[in-house]
This record gives sequence, structure tokens and C-alpha cells, in this order.
Amino acid sequence: MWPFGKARKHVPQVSGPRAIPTQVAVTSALRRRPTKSHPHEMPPARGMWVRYGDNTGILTDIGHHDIATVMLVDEHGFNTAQVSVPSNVLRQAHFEEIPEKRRPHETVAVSMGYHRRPS
Amino acid sequence: MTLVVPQAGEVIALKAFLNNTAGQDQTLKLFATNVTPAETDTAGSYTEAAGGGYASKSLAGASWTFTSASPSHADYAQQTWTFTGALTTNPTVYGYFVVQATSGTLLWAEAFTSFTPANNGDQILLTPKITAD
Repeated sequence: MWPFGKARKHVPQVSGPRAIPTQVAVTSALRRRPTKSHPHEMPPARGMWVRYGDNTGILTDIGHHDIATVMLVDEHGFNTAQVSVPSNVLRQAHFEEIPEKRRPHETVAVSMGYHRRPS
Repeated sequence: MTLVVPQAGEVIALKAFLNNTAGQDQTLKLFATNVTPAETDTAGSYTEAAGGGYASKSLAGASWTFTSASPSHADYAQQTWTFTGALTTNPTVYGYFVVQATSGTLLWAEAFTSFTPANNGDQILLTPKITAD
């Protein structure tokens, strides 16, 4: 350990493709809710808040056969576990389901399809 | 890993593209909480690394190189953080985020394999790149 350990070099691989390939996204069972500017359901995107069962997570990828990779988060928005599941078991999160510390202003949220849960 | 351009970053890109608002130089920062970037994030969503010799990096717009390809991309020279020891607030680095130098608005963020600086001379070497896909 410091200050006695040997210095290490970490070279992370970054800047992976930003977008989910169009042909994958448009056929995915996971959809984004209509918004004022986009009145029809839209394909999912990386970074989208999703709901998997009783858990909230962030979509990180969708691969072939519509298998989605999701990082589940805790009530503070910190990572807990990564899961790979069929997209048809996911849905876009509702506004209240985004962890409070990472929840955007409601106007912003609604513009991205994160409406409040229907009562 | 997954690079995410949040909504705020998309608006900045559109405004610069359409000559509405000029872009700005950028500041490259490391974040030290175990979070995955989300499309709703702001700069405040991330806890910047602190201590251990850490300092953010300035990225000048004129120093990016642009490649016309499919997809086109922009690349920057490799950035190196050399630590003097452990970070102080949170010990582990989980990714990086880029903000506008003046406004502080988040442009994009990306998680990477985590690293915990501990030894004097430990380094993180990061080559900024963004792809227009």
C-alpha cells in the first residue's frame, strides 16, 4: 500500500458507441412513452431509466434477440447489480421511480417521457 | 462502456450545430461514485474525485482532431492523471464526465472499469473520444 506499493497504470477503454444500433432499437419491445414533441412511442436509448420488476435501473445496452443490459440502482441512484434480460420485461420508469437524488425537474422528465405514475 | 450524452448536452450540440450559441472549451473530470450515467443527468449528478494529487483537465476546442468516417468522430490527446496517493473523499474512480468550461453544463459522461489510486505514481490514462452516431 501507499507509500510503499509499486505505482500502477490504469488505461480504461472508453468511448464505446454512443447509440444503440438503429436496427436493434427500432425493433425492441422496450419503448419510450410519447411526449409533447414526439406524440408516438419512441425507441429506447442508452441512459434511459427503466423499471425491472420492483427495481429501477439504467439501460446500458440492447443486443441481438432484444436482450437488454440494465444496471440496477439503489434508492440513491448507486449501482447495485447488472442484469441482462429480455426487453419485453422492462418498461420506461415513471417520474417517481427515478431515485430522488438523480431525479430531474419534472418538466425535463416529462419531456423525456418520465410521466408521473397513473393514480 | 457506455457513453451517454444527456439531454442538456444534446441541446448544446444542436445550438452549436445551428449557429445559435457557440460552443465552449471543456473540462474533463473523474467521478468517484459508483453510478451509471443516465440521460437525465446534470453535472451535479456526479461527485468529482478529490485529493491524492487529482485535478481536472482542460480540453481546448482547437486541440480536438476530427475524422470524417462512418460514423465520424473527434479525438483528443491522451490525458494522464498521476496520483500522489489515495483520494480523500471517495477512494475509487468509476468514470469520467465532461462539462463546458464556462457554463459547467454536462456534455457527456462515461463509466469505465473502476480504479482505486493508492500508491504515489499511480496513473489513469484516458483518451477522450466522441463518436457522432
